[in-house]
Amino acid sequence: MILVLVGAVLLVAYFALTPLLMLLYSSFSDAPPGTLGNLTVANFARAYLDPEFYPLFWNTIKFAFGSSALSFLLGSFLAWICERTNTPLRGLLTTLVIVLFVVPGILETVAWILLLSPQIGLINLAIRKLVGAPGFSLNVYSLGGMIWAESMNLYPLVFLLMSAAFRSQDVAMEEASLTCGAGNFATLRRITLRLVTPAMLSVMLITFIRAAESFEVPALIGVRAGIFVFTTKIYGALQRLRPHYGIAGAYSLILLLISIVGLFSYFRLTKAAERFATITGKGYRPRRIDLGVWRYVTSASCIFIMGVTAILPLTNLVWSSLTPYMAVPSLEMASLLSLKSYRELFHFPFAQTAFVNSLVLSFASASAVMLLTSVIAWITVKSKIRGRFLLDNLAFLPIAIPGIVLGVSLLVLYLTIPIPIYGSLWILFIAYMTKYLPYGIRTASASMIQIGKELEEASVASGASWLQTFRRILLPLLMPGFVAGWIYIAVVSLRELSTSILLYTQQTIVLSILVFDLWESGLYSSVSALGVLMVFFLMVVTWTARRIGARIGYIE
Amino acid sequence: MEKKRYRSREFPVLTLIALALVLFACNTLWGSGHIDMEGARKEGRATIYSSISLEDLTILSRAFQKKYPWIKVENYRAGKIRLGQRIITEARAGRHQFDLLLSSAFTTLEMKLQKLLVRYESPERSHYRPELKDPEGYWTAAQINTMSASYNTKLVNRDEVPKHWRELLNPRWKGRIAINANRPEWYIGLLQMMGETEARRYMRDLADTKTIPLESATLADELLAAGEYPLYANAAPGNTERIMKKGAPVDWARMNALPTYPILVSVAAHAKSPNIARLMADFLLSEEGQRVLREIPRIPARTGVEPNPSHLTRGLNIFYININAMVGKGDDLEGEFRRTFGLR
Repeated sequence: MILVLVGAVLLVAYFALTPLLMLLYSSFSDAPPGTLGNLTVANFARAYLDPEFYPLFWNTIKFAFGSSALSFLLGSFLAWICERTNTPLRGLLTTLVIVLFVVPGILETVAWILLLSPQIGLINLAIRKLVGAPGFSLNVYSLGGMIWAESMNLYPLVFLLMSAAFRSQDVAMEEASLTCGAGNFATLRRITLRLVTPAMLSVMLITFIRAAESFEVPALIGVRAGIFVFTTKIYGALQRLRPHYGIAGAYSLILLLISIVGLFSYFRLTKAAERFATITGKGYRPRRIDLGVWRYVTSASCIFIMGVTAILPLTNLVWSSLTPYMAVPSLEMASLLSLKSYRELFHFPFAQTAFVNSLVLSFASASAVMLLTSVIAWITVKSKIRGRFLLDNLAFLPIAIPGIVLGVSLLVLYLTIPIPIYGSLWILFIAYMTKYLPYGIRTASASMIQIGKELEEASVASGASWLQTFRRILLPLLMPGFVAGWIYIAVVSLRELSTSILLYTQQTIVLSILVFDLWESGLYSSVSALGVLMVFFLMVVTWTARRIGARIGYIE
Repeated sequence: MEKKRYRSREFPVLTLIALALVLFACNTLWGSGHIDMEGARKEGRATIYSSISLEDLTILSRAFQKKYPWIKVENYRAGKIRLGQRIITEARAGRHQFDLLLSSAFTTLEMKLQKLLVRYESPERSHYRPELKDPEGYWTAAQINTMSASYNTKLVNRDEVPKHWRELLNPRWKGRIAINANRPEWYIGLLQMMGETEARRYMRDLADTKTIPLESATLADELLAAGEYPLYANAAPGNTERIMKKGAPVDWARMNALPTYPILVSVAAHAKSPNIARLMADFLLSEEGQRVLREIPRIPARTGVEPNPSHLTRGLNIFYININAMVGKGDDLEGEFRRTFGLR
């Protein structure tokens, strides 16, 4: 037990501390990472005495809060419907939401420009024609438009994590509430939602920080709208041949601070872990609520939400992959449709290598992160070891490190120390481990909180070792959260670009580099074709996983 | 006595001069294209770092490998900034990974300043205009990129197409011109073409027409085709031609002068395969290499090899940006460009 725990702690420290220390050091230094400089607070002065920073920061707060709130509402509503009600078509809904993840960020953002631009946006053109209101315009180039586009990026994550939480709920408390005369809605509000508080807080924290540091929406929509967020400042400091790592570091520390405060509140609110334990010795079986005729209403609302948030952008993606250039759908364009971009894609150099590398990395990093963070979550939730809050922090804080800073830190480290992994897949694996630890720890921790301590105690009392208990009792009970975290990491790691671009070589090229290269080469149709193939591939994988899950009784 | 004294004084001076001459000869020989083919065979492999797309880079390196099948070439590609950051980080750690650099002036000049490049005067350089090669021999242009305004043919009438940069200030275009924030070379080009004071005033006036800033060349090209705006001020006609070929309703304006920047080829100071690096540089600059480049299609820099289509340069007033005037100013000028157009 001690060996496993110490090993896990050391691994987390190894992954997270290097870039964190480098970030801290460079923010207090006048030299770039990896070189000795003088200690200084000049970076902070330059960053925070800049009057331009504050309006940008305020924009960031509005943007991140809006995106976090909207994606939370949407994702949780869909998750509740899928996991806890007998709404028809809920299986299809789950598959659709998950595949949305894999669409490269650039394409998803461009899709929303093509749907909601006042000039050429399809939704605007359609409404103007159908309703006969020529002046009607939803404007993607606004704060609302940015929040919408970012939420569309984030809500599948909320859906996944909240589904896991709803799946591990005990029906007994809800039944007690219903027996006492509370209605379905009151039970939902006062029992169901309160029990998933840890998961809700985790999701809000992650989505808030993800939105605050997001790049595609601010760059592609925000710049055009004249709404700048403070990642623009970080980007500006790093997008130079002589990057201001120190200033970028000083700005990033604000995200670190938000993360620490967020985590602190999370720990305060979930302090009495046993209050949230729904998986106890009494056995649990989540009950599906029979909505009666209302299930058709929920079904219709889901179809509407999925139609707008998934089918429209996905159709747009397919359309873009078939047209030779970006164009509003029309009969004239329909005659130009072809599969040329798909053919071009197969002739693209290194496409196969990139596909294989990405799959290996995605599978390996998702599995390794979830295993490691499950052990860490046990320490932070179940043990009484001193300093466990710090450990949770350590695993979560890499969320605030900009991708480029992470890339440079790893470059410096593995160019300097005699571990020969520079230029290999290992360095990318370590980068992905570091980058996705925060998502792993939040999912694992929110799930661990739901498990009562008596099951573990029973196992140990029956003579099982800690490792046996962990492997045979805890891990299976953690599965909903584990699988949700695994899926998320496996899929988003296929999209990781900002760190990979500094670390890859011809042999270790990954799909996201390919997407970036196609995009930069102006091959928009081919990027879209690649996006469609990734979606298709993921649909097949999800469908197969669900079939296997159904066979082993994990998924209905 | 007199004679003897003369000799004893002259001897060290003569020795020094002789030594200097030998060193100069070696340096000239080495810097001017001496390639040890036996050495190249022993090296066997080399790495190109580049900011041109991976697909195009691979076409070039495959053509080179077809000529020299015993050489293995590794390609690495990133945008000009990330490319520079990787090279500098590697150099700081004392690990030099690239042999040949094929990138924009931004990266190349910085690498020259950081002493990460070596002089190499390829014999092919005699076919290049003076503006397209470094007088000190550190770089030579392999490709040029012209810049002009592009327009959507459905939204702009033939008689409205601007012919002079000043026409972009016409109130007709207010709020209808896109600017690609990732092409500072255009700003630098106009600064040199018009003179700094006049150009800065022009840029401010242009920004006042409420230009539409965009962070990506691809997005700017594609949204122009889709009809989001009628005019795109700092387009690359080479890219516009590519989408025109696919049938998009776009074309580019034949402006009074087209600011033009090169993609430069240079050899790494710490190349592990210096002979192959020189061989590759020679190939890229040779007529054969330039024809491969032309078919990609990219605009060859070599005099006498016309681009495909030839009207990309023929009969036009090409203004070559003075690269050496940008030394050490790249970041500042880019910042100035972005701020002028309301970007941060």
